[in-house]
Amino acid sequence: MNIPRILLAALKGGSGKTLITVGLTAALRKKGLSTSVFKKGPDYIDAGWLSMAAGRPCYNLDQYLFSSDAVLNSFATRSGNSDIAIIEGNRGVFDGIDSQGSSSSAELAKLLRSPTVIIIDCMKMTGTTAALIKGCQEFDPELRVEGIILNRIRGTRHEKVVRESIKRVSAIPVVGVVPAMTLKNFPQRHLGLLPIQEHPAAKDFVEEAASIADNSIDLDQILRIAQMADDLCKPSFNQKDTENISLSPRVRIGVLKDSAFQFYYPENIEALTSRGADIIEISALESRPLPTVDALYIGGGFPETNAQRLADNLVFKDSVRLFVEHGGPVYAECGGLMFLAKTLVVDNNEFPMAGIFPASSVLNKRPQGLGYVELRARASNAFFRQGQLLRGHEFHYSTMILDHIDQESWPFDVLRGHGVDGAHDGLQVRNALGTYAHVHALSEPSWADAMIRKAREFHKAQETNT
Amino acid sequence: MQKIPRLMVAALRGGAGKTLLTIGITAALRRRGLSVAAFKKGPDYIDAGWLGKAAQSECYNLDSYLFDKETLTASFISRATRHDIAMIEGNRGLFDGVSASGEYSSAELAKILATPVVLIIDASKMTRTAAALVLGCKLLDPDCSLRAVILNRVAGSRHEKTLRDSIENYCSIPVIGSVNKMSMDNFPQRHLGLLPLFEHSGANTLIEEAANVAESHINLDALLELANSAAPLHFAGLIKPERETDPDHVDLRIGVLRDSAFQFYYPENLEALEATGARLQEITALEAQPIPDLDALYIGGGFPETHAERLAQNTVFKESLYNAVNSGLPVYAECGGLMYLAKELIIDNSAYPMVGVFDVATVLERKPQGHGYMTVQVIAPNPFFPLGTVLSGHEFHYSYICSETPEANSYAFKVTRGHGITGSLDGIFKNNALGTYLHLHALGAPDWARSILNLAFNYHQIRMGKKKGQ
Repeated sequence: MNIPRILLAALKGGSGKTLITVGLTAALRKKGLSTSVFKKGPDYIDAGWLSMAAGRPCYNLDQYLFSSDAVLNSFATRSGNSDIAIIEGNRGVFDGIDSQGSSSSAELAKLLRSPTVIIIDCMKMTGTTAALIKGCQEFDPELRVEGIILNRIRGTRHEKVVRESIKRVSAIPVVGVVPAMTLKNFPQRHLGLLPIQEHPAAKDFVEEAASIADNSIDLDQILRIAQMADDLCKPSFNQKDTENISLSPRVRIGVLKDSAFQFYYPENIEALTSRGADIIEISALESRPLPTVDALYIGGGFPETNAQRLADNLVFKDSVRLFVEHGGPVYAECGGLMFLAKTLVVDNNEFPMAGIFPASSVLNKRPQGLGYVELRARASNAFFRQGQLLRGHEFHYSTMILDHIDQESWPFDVLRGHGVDGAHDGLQVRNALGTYAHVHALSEPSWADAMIRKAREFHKAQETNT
Repeated sequence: MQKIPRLMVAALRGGAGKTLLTIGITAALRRRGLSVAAFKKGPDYIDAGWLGKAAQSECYNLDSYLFDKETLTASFISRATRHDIAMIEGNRGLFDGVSASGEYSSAELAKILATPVVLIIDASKMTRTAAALVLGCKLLDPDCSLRAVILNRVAGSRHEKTLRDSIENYCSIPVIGSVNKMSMDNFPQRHLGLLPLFEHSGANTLIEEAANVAESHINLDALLELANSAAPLHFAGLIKPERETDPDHVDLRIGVLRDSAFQFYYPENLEALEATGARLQEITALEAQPIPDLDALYIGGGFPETHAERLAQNTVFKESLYNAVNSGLPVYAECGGLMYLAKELIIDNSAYPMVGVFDVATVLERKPQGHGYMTVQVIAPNPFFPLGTVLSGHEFHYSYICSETPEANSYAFKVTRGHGITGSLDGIFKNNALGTYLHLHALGAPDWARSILNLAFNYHQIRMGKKKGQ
């Protein structure tokens, strides 16, 4: 199979990659092309924007979190019904988790045999761009760089000098020249863009990005480059995803989805539905109790920007507490963990939360944990078997202040990353587990298995009780 | 042949933290008791001002676009030989020149002066890709001696290790420094670069802080070793001796307007004015006293806009200058000086009355109105330059000139590169006063000092004649 595809990469974060990729995706879609979108790495926010631009879910591809086969398999199945696949790289093209560049955007491009387009931020630079392009070519000759997009170009003379300089060292065509500009409705927060749900004019922005791309990027040339992709390697399909769970009995899994909780990999939701779950979307901001569910999944988000509303929603908080007291399984990540704690402290203001975990989360000005994590499940873990290794990702500005520390009850040891205290991650009460780590279903298929198993156990227990 | 230990500090682009680190290194070397000769590539005044302060001696500009190679090399050798080490700060990206071939780039300057280059890498939001960029710089021009890397804006020890390992492994270039992200966060910046010295109250503190950062994050021994490895500099030409005293010039007194509003003077220009015996007298436009007796006045660029109110209110000084121009005082005014000689300065719709020699207003904008190298040709008879003279320099101004009667103005220059006053004309003049957006560098325009001195001599004769006649 051979889906036309390109990977867009840059030399460092902050080069305008997401703006250009979002714009390009939306512009291609406007041309009537069905565009599948992928984001390299564990990021939710860029993926959200890409998904809005493409009008379909954006999937993450991550060679640190998933096996190569899982990456290939996910890409093949999820790009199969599109005219072109757009993959957005992350950070610098050769940046990986180590000095060998493992799991870099370049490695992903090579695994997917995808032509790469390099975006160069040309601000305050002219002829030196040639050195950078030459460096990329010589550094890894196996990476197929087939196009260059110049970003933040100031005027025609700047463009001319940069173009000619690159031409002197490389035959790679310049396929786009994006002018330096200020985008009023393109605010940035944390690492990347604001999440869509919080953006007042998300659609306007996507439109604006599309017209920028349309005006400054040669879309036909992008398509030609995408068509230069070699045949995709066949994945060997020997994934871990083999715990043959039967699809029945079906279970109802509640998912908190509102402006406070929004970080869910679509693959995670699909992993639940494909195992026989019906997904019930629930808002923690509306004053009504938790509906009847067999398990609850609370993803990350920004409880801090919704702290007052969450604190005021007594009806909902009480029902969640009751659900946990009855043994209801809850899996909460990051923002979800914060919601299940006793209080959330923002700028010295305390907001009472659901009160499941005897701890307060305190929001800081700087990230307290950022990057990949590796965890080992401990004996007490309600979802994972003892000793099981998991990989995931954390990105949190909050720290957890525990009322008391019980060394026996930690659900995870932290082997890489920060977690709750640098050595452990997770808090657990009965069947409610909260963790700073975000787990991806393609990395850890047993997560969905555990969710379904716990939901069925709880469902069964409820039936027996009534 | 001259053995001059020397280094160039360069980066991949502007804004990588080059100036702060060069200031820090320079001041740290000085703390070790070394005498440092500081040089700035390009026509910049502000970075040069900081470097000079860090070195505790003048910082000189090296610009292969404005000077010919012999002049440049001679200037470097004559000004570096008295010192233990010469530090040259590059500008913009290492290979950024005026054209695609990289002419007049920092790399070209490093080659002319056979100087080892230390590359600053802004490592924010990047890890191993830094190695690809360094490799590209190494391969793009093997004649440019890229010898070491200093990492800037490093996020932590893991970040540093990945960067270091990749650069050393893939490029075989040593990483001799790694500066953390937070170390230099409170350094103020304005316009293109750092704030000008005069406006910064804590200038010395800042330099000491930068020196602390350099001492704790940069391997200065490795840096010195690298500087000492520079081969002796071959130069066939003549290192010009100081010009001889001209008896006509010894009595001349040339005023230089120097205060917190006017501060952009190349030391080479001032040296050229006094090289033949004329005396320079610094005066200020901010104190309420008339200008002293002068034979000529040189007004450089600066920031009249931040002193508009004070300049406007100083009527004593303005009127005395206006009258002096009317009686024939030669005045050469650049950029901020031009703005000061205009009728008024308009900022955010407020008009501040200036000296009024030229019947125009200058209007301050939010964005630069002209920025870069500038070349003019003399097209009208004027007091300073003969017809046909071609002058190259530099312009950088946020203001433009607004004139109710543009046809009444006399312009000496046709602009052949750059923007100037009208986009095609520059060098407005009246009597013996000329105002221009062009900053000239004496090493690139040797006739400039000569013409000011000639005019000063003539005016001096007239002045003395009048005195005698009284």
